[in-house]
Amino acid sequence: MEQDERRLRLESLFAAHAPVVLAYARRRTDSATADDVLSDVFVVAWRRLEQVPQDPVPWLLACARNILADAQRGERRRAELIERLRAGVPSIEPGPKLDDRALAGALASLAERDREVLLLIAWDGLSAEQAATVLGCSRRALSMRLHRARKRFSAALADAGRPEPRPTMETCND
Amino acid sequence: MTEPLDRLAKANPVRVESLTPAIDGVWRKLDNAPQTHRLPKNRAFGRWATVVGIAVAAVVAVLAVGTSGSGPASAFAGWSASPTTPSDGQLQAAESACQQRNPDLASITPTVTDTRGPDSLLVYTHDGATTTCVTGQVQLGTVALTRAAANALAASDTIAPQSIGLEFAADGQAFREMTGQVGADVTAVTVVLEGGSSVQATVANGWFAAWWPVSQDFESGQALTQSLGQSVPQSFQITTASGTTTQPLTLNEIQNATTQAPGVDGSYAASGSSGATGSTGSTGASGTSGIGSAPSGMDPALWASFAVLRQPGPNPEPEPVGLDTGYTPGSPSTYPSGVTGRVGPPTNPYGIDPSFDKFAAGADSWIQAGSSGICLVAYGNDPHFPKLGDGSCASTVMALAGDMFDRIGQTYVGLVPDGNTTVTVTDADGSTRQIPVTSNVYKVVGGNPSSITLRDASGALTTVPIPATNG
Repeated sequence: MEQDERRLRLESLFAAHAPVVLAYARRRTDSATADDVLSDVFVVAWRRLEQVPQDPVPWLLACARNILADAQRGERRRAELIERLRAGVPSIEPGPKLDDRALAGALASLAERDREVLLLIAWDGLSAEQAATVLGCSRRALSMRLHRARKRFSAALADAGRPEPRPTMETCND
Repeated sequence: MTEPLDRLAKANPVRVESLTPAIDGVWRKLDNAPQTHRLPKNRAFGRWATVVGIAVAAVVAVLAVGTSGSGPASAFAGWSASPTTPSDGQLQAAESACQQRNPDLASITPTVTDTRGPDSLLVYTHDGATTTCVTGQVQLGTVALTRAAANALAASDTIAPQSIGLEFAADGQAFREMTGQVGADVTAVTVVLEGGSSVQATVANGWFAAWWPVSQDFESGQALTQSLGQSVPQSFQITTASGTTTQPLTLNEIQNATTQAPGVDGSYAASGSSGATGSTGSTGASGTSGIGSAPSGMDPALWASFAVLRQPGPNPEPEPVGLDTGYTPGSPSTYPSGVTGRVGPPTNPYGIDPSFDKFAAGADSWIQAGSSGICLVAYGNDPHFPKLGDGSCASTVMALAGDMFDRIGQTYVGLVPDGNTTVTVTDADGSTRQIPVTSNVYKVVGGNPSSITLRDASGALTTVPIPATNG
């Protein structure tokens, strides 16, 4: 692919899907980190432009998910952290809070693997097929996982006000 | 959608429609990629920049607009020790790629271009500055450093090196680039490397330029160290009408400035580095008895677990600036916001206090402790770029677990708690190596490490995976 063509391709990819990627990141981390994640995702997309599939959203979100997981796992901010520190920009702030406290409580009481699949559907607006791609599992495994997550979420909502989220990030197992 | 899911969807805290992100951040990240992970320069280096700033100065590495997918052995496929003739349109494409990345170059043309196979080094000389841009197939990585020199031409049959650079491709392979002025009588320049091989430079418009891969093979740390050393330019063969002479590489102006000049702000001596040499003391302490108590502002767990923080006396190395620009250790009033916890969170979540900074001798790294976390600033081992490196920070919990390391090209540097005299590195092929620990720091050079096995602060054996990076 010619450079100009690549550039155009990335620009159109960005124009079409950056808001979705940014929204995904902002729902899960502070806004400064989310902005970082967004540009990281499209830097990866630039480098692997040939691998971006026909339906790019799951691919882009899977990429964002990996970048977020990496950042959260190591709590490393490398040079960007340092730059941010020097710039005096708050680097650690929570993601957005939910006004519906019962909902927030129920969500927080879920294990990450449940919460993740629910949010991909409810907030990120993905189809089950797309969510399966993001989580790297089969459509069938996704359905099972979604089914269980819904059940647990409904139960938790009925019994709202439960404590502490479990912080681990899990992959999608069949 | 069931009712609870519906309720969840309605509570969506971020609506896509409300967002209008700009792509500038992506281009900026690509543009700046070679610079974002640079190690902060030491004070003397900062001084050097001002010294030579008048004569030469700013050298900018520009990210190549490259194609993806080249493996380690082929990152520089097509490179040759002699320049090649650019294919039709190759230079135009290179110029356009460089201009796209650095709009400042749009109004100027390269003084000299050095093409080797699919990749070209473009050298722009303007307003007393030199800007280089490597572009073509190579995909540049995130670490680059260039030193500029202010060498003046001594005679018409000599050359005057003006810049020397080291960069890493996205896959971690390193290459060097060099530029300089040539006397009016010089018709050809060959750069002779320490390892004995030589690279014929391109000579044009009173300048020479050349670039060369450090190695095509990083199978072992020894090989990498060796090839880094072997790729250092050692001398030049200079051809004129009357024959060929040899001129050694001298960068004395830089060396003198970097090692002798005080810091611009005069605080160089205050760091305790003036004239101090020798070892930094034992790293063998273990346990928490007899170590005294942590200074106010430092997490006691860090103090108890990392002997390097308990090293007495002044540090034998000037502190890296850039990370901690402009502060005077021990004078909180000079600390910039964000570097010290004394200005309060959230600007510095780990409460890093520069006065706790310690140099880990033997590992060429700085350890910077705070009230809830710690940073590791690791130096590379390149003779031309002794302060090349990177910074990484982690919470106390992560540090005590030994889950803290940083990557610089093919070098991994990590911080481990007391009780580790070695760590075990497992490479992707399953082979293992023992790496010594000095001052709580280990340095893994080369290979393809996939995990590090060490003892965490509790003494338990733990294996920390090394995540794949995006290059």
